[in-house]
Amino acid sequence: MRYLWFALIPGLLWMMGGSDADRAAPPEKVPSLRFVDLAHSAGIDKFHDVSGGPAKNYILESKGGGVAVFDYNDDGWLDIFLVSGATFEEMENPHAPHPHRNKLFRNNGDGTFTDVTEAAGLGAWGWGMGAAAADYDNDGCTDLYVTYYGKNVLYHNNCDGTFTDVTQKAGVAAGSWSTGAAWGDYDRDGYLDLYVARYINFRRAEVPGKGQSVVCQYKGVPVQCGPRGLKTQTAILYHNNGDGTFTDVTNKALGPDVAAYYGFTPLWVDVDNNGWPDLYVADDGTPNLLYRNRRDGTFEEVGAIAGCAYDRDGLEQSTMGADFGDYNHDGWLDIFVTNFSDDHSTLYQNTGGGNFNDVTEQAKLLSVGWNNVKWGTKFFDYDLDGWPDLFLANGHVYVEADRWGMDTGYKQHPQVLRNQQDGTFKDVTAELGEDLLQKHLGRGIALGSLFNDGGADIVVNNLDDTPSLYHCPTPTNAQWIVLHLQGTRSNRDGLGARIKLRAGGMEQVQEVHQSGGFLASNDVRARFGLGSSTVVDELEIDWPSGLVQHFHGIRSQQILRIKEGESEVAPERMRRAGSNHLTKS
Amino acid sequence: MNHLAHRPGLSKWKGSLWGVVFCLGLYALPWGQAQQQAPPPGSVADQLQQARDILQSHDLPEARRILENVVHRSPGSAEAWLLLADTYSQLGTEGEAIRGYETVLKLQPNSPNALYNLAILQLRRNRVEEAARYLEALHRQRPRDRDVLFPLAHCLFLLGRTSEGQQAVEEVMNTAGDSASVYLKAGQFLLAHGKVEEALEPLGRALNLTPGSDESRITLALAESQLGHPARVIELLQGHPKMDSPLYASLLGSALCDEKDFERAVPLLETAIRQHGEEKLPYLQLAAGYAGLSKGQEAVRTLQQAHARWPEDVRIRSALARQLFHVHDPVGALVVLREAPETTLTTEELGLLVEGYAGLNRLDEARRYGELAAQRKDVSESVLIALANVYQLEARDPEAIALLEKHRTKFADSPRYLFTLAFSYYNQGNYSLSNDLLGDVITRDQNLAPAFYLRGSCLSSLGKPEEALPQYETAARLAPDDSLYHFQLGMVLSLLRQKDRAEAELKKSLELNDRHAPAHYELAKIYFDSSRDELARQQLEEAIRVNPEFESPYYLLSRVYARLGRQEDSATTLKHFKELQQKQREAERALKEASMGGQNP
Repeated sequence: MRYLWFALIPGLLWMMGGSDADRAAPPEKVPSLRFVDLAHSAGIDKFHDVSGGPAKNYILESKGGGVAVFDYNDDGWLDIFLVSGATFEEMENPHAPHPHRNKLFRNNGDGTFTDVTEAAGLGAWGWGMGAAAADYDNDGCTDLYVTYYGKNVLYHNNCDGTFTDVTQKAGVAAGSWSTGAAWGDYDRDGYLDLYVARYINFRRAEVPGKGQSVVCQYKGVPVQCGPRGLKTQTAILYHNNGDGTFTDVTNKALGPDVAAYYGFTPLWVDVDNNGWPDLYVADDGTPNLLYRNRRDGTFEEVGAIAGCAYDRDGLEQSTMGADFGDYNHDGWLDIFVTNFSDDHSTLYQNTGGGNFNDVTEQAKLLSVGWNNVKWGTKFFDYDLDGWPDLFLANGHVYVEADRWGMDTGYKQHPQVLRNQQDGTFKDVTAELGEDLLQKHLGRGIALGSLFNDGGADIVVNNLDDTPSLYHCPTPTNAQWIVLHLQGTRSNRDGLGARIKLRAGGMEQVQEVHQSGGFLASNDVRARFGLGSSTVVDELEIDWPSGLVQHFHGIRSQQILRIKEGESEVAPERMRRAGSNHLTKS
Repeated sequence: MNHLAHRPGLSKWKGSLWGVVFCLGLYALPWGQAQQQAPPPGSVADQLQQARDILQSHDLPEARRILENVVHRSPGSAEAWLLLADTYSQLGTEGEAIRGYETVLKLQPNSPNALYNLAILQLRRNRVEEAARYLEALHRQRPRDRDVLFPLAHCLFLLGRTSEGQQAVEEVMNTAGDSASVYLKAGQFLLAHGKVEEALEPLGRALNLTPGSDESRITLALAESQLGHPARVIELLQGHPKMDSPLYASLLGSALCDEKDFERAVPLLETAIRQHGEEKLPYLQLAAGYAGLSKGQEAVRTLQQAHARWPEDVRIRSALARQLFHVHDPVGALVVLREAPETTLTTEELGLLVEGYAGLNRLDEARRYGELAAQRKDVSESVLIALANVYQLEARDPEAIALLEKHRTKFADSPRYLFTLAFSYYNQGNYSLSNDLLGDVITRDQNLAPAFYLRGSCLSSLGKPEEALPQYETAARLAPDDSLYHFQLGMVLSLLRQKDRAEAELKKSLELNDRHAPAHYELAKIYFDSSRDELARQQLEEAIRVNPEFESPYYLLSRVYARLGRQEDSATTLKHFKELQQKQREAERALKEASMGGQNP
C-alpha cells in the first residue's frame, strides 16, 4: 500500500487546491440548486439536430443523436461534440449540399463555446448516431469514434487540435446501423477495446409504411414500424491490437452463437468486483445482456441468471439508455436502464458478486416517467450529498403521441430523481427550475463538469432541435472533488479503474468510464459529492493494471489529476481558450 | 248471368274468423240478373233470348257467338253488350269483358251493372283508382247502398284515403239501425284493414245487440287481443264454456299466457292446436306457455312443429332459435337460422347468430353476421355489444371502437354499451379515454363491479396505483366472490408496498380460485421480497403446475432455487424459462412477419 507522503502533513493539502481562476464564472442568473439551460448563452445552440423529416415515417428518423463531452485539446476544459442525423434526400444524393453535420464546440473556459468543427476536421456528413471518446492509442490525446447509419468513423486526435479519419486503417467501420459504442480494456492489456452496438438491419424500401402492419400501430393509431418485426443486427467487439489497428473478435470473445438484438447502450462495468471489465448491453425490445468476463479474452452471457436481462417478471423491456453506479453505497455497482412509455425504468440492485435484483418497486421508481419514452440516463450527484441521483432525458418517438387519447405527448421534459439515501428515489424535477420543465425530444445525454466548478452539467442532444445544456451550480457549502486519472501501465484514460472514496464516514465507489447514457460519451473524470466533508479521508484507486494506490487527507473543492503509479497528485491545469497547449505525454 | 254470381259470397266471409281475411268476393251482387228486362219481339230480341237460354245451359262459347252476332247487327243495344261482357267475363277474357262494359257505359253512362262490374274487374287488376271512380259514380246513384259502400271503403283504404274510407264505413253503420250483423260486418271490415281501435265500437254494438252471439264476442275479443288487452280478452271469453272453438281456445289461452297464467293457458292452447292446427299464433303462445312453466324442451318441440309447417315464418323461426339457446342448444339454434335464406334473417336473428358462433369460438362467422346486423337500421344494443365482443376476442379493438363510437349517441345512456367501449379503449392502450368513459359508466350504475375493476386497471396502467386502489377495493366489495378482483387488489397493494394487505388479498383470491397462476406468482413475489424463499418456491411451483405456459414463474423460481442453494435446479428452470420465452417469441415473430409481408428474419 502506498500513501501520499504529504498526506501525513496536516495542512499541506489545503495548498493544493486549484485557484478560483481555473473555474469558469457561473452565470449570475443561476440560482442555487436550480438547473438552468445554458445552451444559448454557451453558444452550442448553433447546432441543430436534423433526423429525417417531421413526419417520422421510419424508425431511423426517431433515434439519433448522441453527444460526447471530452477534452479534445487537453486544456482542462470539457468540449462538446454533438452528432447530427440527416435526411433520406441527403443520403440519396451524395453530391447535394449537406448542411446537417456533426459539430465540435471548444470550451472557452468562460462559459462559452466556439464551433471548431471545420478546424478540427470533424465536419463530415452522414446519418450520425452516437459518439465514444477515448485515447485508444495512449498518446495523451482523446480520440473519437462516431457511429452512423452507415459506416462508422474513427477519428485519431493529432494532438494539434485536429483529427484524422483512420477508420480504414483501424478496421472499425462496422457498417449497417450502429448505435452506442463503448471503450473498455477487457483484456487489461493497456489498450482500449471497442464494443459497437448495432440496432436494425434497416433498408427503407423493405420497411412498411405507417400502419401497414399490425405491429405498426400504437394505441390504435398507425405509426412508424419497428423495431419489433424488423431485422436485428449483431454487435461487434473490436480488440485493440495496440498498433492502431483492431480485430473483430466478436465470435471469438462473445461466442459463435452471439445473438442479434436491437442493441443500444453498452456499458463496460466490473459487476463482480474482480477487477475485470464485464460488459452490459441495453437492448430495445430484446433482453439486455450481461457478458461476464472470463479473464481469458472471452465472455459468458449471464444476463438472465444474473437477474439483469429482464424486469422482475421475466419480461424483456424496450431499453434505451443505461448507466451504472453504487446508489446504495454497498460497494457493488448497480445498473439503471430506461425504457419505453407505458413501462417503468428499471433499477437492478447488485446484491453482490454480479447478481442483481430488480428493485424498481422498492426504489419507488415504478410510476416515475411511466408515460415517457425514456432515453439517456446518468447517475450523477447533483446535490453533492454523496448519493448518486438520476437524470433521464425523455421524448416520444411517435409524432402521433400528441393525439387524443394517447396518454402521453411527443415532446417531454427531462427528469431528475433524487436519491433519498434510503434505497428510494423521488422525482424532484419540478423543484429544480423551469428550464427542466421545458419539453424536448431528448435523446443522447452526456455528463461532465463543463465549468469545472464541481457542478453537474448535462448536455442533451434533442432530436430535431437545438441541444440543452443543463447546468446545476454547486449547492452552498456542499463539498466535492473531481479526479482525473491518467493511466501509465493501464490505458491512458484509466477506464475501468475503481475508485473507492471515504469522507465524513461515508464510503463511495465509482468506476472510471466514458460509456453510459445513450449514444453518449461522458466525462472520464470521476466526480464525487462529499456532503459537508471538506476532506477526503481515504482514496483507493484500483487500476486496471492491478496497481492499487491509496491517498489520504485530500482537500475538497478541487480537480485533481492522478497519474498511475505516482504518489503525487496535482491539481488539474487549465488553460484559457486560445492558448497553445498540447504536448504529448 | 252476371259473372259476379260466381264470386264467393258473404257466408264465406262470415266464417272466416281466424284471420278475418278480406276478400273481393264480399262485394258480389246479383245486379245483372235483377235488372234484366223481358225480350223484345223481333229477331234481335229473339237472339238475345236465345243467348240467355244458352247461358242458362252454360254453353258459353255458343252464347258468345250469338251475342257477338247481335251486337254486330245491333251495336246500339246496351243489353246485348252487357250480356256479351258478362259472357266474356265468365269465359275469363277479362279484357274483352272490360271493353264490353265500357261500351255499355257509352250507351248507358249510369248503368249500375256496368259500373259495378267494371269496378270489380279493375280492382282485380289492381287498378284501384279506376275501381274507386266507378264505385263513386255508383255511390252517387245509391248513397246508402251497403253493397256499394263496403267495396268503395275498401278502395279508399287501399288508396290511403283512410278518413274517407272510414266515413264510408260509418255510412254503412248509419244505415244499420239495430242490425247487429251490419255492425259485426263493419267491425270485421275495419279489423281486416288494421283499424283495430275503430273496430271496437261496431263490434261492441254488435255484441250489445246480440249478447249471445259467439261471433260478435270472439271478434271483439280478437280486436282486444290485437290491441294487447289480455285482461279484457279474458273478461270477454272466460265463463263461456259453450265457446269451444279453436279460436276461442287460442284467444283465451294467449291472453292467459300474456297474464302469466301458464297453468291455465297451456291446456287451452294445446286444445286450440289439436282442434285447428292451421294457425301460427297458438303455437307461439303455447311455446311461451311451456317456457313459462320451465318446460323448455316442450317449448322447443312445439316450435319445431310450427317451424316444420311454416318454415318461412320469421317469428316462429326466431322463437325457435331463441328457445334453443335457452335450452342450451346453440348448435341447434344455429342450424335453424343457417337454413334460412340470409336475406330473410331478422336483426335479432343475426344477433343470435353472433352470440351463438361467438360462444362456439367460431369468430369468423360471428363477426360476419354481426357486421351484417350492424348495417341494419334497427340494430340493437345487444347485437352491437356482441359484435364488439367478437372484435375484442380477435384483438381488433380499433374496429370495436369504430363500431361502438358510430352508434354511441343512440346508446349513450347504456352503462353496458359504454363499458364495452371503455374496454376496447383499455385494450388499445388509451387508458385516459377508457378511464373517462368508465367514470360515465359508474355515474349511471354504481354497482357495476367490472367498471370499477377496469377503471382500476386504467389507473394502474397510467402509472397511478394510488388512484387505482379505491377502484379495486370497490370492485372487490361489490363482488366479494370474484377472485380476480381480490387478485388485482392484491397486486396494486403490493405495488404500493402495503405488503401485509396485499398478501391477505392474494390469499383470498386463491381461496376463491386456486387455479389462478398469476395469483400464486404474485404471492410468491411477496414471499421472495421478504426472503420467505421456501414459501415462494411452493407458490411458484404451483403457478407452473396450474399454467405451464406462464413464463414469469420460471424466471423467479430460478432465482429462488439459487437462493436456496439449488443451483442445478436454478439452471434447469432458467433453461426452461428461456426455451418457453423463445417459443413464444417465435410465435409472436411469425405473426408479425406475416403481418409485415414475411420480410423479416
